[in-house]
Amino acid sequence: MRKATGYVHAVTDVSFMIDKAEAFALAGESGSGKTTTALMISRLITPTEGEIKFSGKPIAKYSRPEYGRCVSMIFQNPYASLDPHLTVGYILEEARWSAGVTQATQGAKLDELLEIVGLPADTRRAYPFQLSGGQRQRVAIARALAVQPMLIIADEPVSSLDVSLQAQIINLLADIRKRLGIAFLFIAHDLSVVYQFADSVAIMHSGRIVERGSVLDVLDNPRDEYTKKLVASILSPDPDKKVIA
Amino acid sequence: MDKQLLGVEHLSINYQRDQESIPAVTDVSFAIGKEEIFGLVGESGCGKTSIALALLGLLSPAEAYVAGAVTYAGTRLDQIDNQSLINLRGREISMIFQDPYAAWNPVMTIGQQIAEVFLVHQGRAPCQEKINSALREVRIEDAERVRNSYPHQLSGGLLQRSMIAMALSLRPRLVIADEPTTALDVTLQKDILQLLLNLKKESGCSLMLITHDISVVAQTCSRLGILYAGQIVETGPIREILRNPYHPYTRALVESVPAKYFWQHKRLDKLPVVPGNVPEPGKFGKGCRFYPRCPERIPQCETSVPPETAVGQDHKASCYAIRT
Repeated sequence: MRKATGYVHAVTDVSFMIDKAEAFALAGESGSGKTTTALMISRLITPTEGEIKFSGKPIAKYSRPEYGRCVSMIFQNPYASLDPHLTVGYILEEARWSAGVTQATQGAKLDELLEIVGLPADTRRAYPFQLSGGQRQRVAIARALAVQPMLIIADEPVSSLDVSLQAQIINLLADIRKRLGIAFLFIAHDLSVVYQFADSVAIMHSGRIVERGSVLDVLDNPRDEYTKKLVASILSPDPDKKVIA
Repeated sequence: MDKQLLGVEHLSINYQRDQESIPAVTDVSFAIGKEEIFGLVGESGCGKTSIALALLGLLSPAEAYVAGAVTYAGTRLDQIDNQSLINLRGREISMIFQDPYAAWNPVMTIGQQIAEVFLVHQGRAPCQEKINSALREVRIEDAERVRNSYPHQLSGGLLQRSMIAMALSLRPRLVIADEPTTALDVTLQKDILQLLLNLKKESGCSLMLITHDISVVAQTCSRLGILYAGQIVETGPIREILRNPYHPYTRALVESVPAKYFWQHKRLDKLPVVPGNVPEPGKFGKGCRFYPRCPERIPQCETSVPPETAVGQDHKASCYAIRT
């Protein structure tokens, strides 16, 4: 038996389990149901049928702030996910208030949060428009950490970033997971990123999971036809390994 | 390189903002040969799109000051009048834009918009069959439906295919594709690149592919220019650059691609990274613009711009760090 932090039936008969401190990836093309699944787990939408459990308890049984302290989210586009008229400090504080994290229970101070994500302490006074895309995504990560969650849902956290920033953010997320023991539900369409970050992966296609297992099993030896197609679409940066001719 | 089709020499673009002149592109030179696929690689904010727009004469003098020489098939594009440029755009040189959802006019059908290209250049609207066949060329099977559709009724893949159909409809000799697959899903990316390559072979045009993705250029291009903060830091044949990247920025780009490790079946504890961001235009230092992030910087790099030096066969880089 494994100790599960989450258990899901969603979209069309989708089931999976995320262990404590595990990095679990949901991969597939747009429209495959990845984000819908994530939104159900974050309780932003309710499944029609089936059940999602967190630490053994159905998520519907948690109070809002209580669940807000268990699961937090990082979105794809840091230009859209941060409120433009709030300072970074306010954005981080607000995440805590809404999850009912009080002065007494709060762990890390704002400066520590910013330090974890590699931002200088005076960033707390900055507005989002004063920050670059990479810095904004770091703020979004700090916001997700502010409630000290057990699970972070990261929905395509690097796909709108530049190449040199992608590697920085992937390394940061991996580091956070190791240091703080937080589990990740990592949603991505780029399997080469999944390969570096996740332990296990589920491949989604048309709302169903077509293949899942450890990242090495699934991506090094895909069995499902759709997974094979996705793997084959990862373009090699080696000009002598052309798949396009 | 075979015979030259496009030559860009000492191109500089300065945007005018609030009495201030902000340099976006500085002293960029490159050439594209006939039937060649040239890749212009760089991250956002490096000036890739500004260069493309400047080549087509799409930057208005009120917003940008453009200097340098652009020679297309013997004609100086920077010196001809606006009407000649209009005649050239779409017929001789055409462009495929990054975001297929934004590049189409939402209140006109795909067919009407493709017809405009013929209308502008040939003085009359084409027959419907001509548009259908342009759409079928990009492997759209139900061309009739797509022609009569409004952009919101079509998927991103179909919109991008239709844009390629429009760009190629008058058989231009140079196609500029600005991140043509970035907004698309991975499986579509491969299809669209394959399609572009096939059409390029069939029509014999040259292709300038603008992208931040090293994998995309590795799969398609024969030569590359690497752009950083508005300057070309390295140019050369694709194999030369990817096998022996000289400039530290090029090496960082090549090393930080997750796809590289995927195909080597390697999982790394940490991906190699360059710390920091591309500086904003207007916030460049005096010397090498990569200086603040460079792992191999020497004092000289801070104060003077390294000149372009030959580092291999047809391979040039602008860097003071000497390597063997």
